[in-house]
Amino acid sequence: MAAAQVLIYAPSDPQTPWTKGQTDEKGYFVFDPAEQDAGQDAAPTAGQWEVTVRQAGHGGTTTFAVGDAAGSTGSVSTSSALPGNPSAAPMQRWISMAAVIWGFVGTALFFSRKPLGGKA
Amino acid sequence: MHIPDGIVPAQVCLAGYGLTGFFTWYSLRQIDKQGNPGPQIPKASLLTAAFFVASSIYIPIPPASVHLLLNGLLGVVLGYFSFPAIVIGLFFQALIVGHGGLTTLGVNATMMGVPALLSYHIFQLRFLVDRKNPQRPVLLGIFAFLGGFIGLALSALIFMGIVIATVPADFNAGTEQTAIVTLTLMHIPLAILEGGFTAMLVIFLQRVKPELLTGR
Repeated sequence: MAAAQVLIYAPSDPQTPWTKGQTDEKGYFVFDPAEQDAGQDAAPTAGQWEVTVRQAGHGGTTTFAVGDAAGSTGSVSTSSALPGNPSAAPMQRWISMAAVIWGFVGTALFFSRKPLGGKA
Repeated sequence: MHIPDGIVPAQVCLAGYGLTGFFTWYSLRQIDKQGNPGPQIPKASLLTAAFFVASSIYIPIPPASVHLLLNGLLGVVLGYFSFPAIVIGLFFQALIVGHGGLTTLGVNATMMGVPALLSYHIFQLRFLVDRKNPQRPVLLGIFAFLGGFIGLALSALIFMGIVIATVPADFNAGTEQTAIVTLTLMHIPLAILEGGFTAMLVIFLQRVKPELLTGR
């Protein structure tokens, strides 16, 4: 999503946004959890970070682990993106869609069948 | 125009499920009153498939693109079957295509299903306009267009109302409202398109298989 609003919540304070921003024209937003902007409280970088994106009633929320919470120590080098589609790979999705459509068609065929002539 | 998971608060999701439960009960009760539902099920099933696929068909309307909805068409052609059809279609859209969400299934079903029921009643108004010959192509076309148009337009307005009322405090409300209003306005040409398509389909069905159109 291009030009969508982005809120980043640090592990130290999940109620107040650590930073705010906007995605670029390609839908990307880059931030560094380790950076300490002037005027911002020094937020511990290790833990679960939350990213919320919203534009015109669409968007989503994702979390990712940084530092010790991610099972690593030392300097932080993490990037994350919101999942575009939570379901599956394109091929798997198309097969699933075809199966659902066939389910509807099969239901239609079942209920439109002509009754059998003979009596039981 | 599907509300995804995490956009609206839990209270709204619960209210959506409550309303969907009520309207599903009401629709099934009306279907039961009409008698044997068997002959209507093939039509309902095929149009549920069309509704399921429609959200994957995007139409570029600058500055972005919108997708088909067909809820008005379902209301006009299926009558009270349209509400359960939309609930089922939305369930599979959330599960497989990723449109909408399971927590917002109730909100989305109310947002699209109630206008579909209204579209059905708008389409039935032709019986009041001309009692002698309500199946005239001109009359069918006009009321089918209104059904298709109002079905989508009303859904867009409900969507706008819900998402504007639930913008979290941390977001810039002005920016979000502008984006929502722009998106809603982009649905006007789509509503005209779906209205026209509904009118053409209804006139076609009246010519080739008139028993498929829900009568009074």
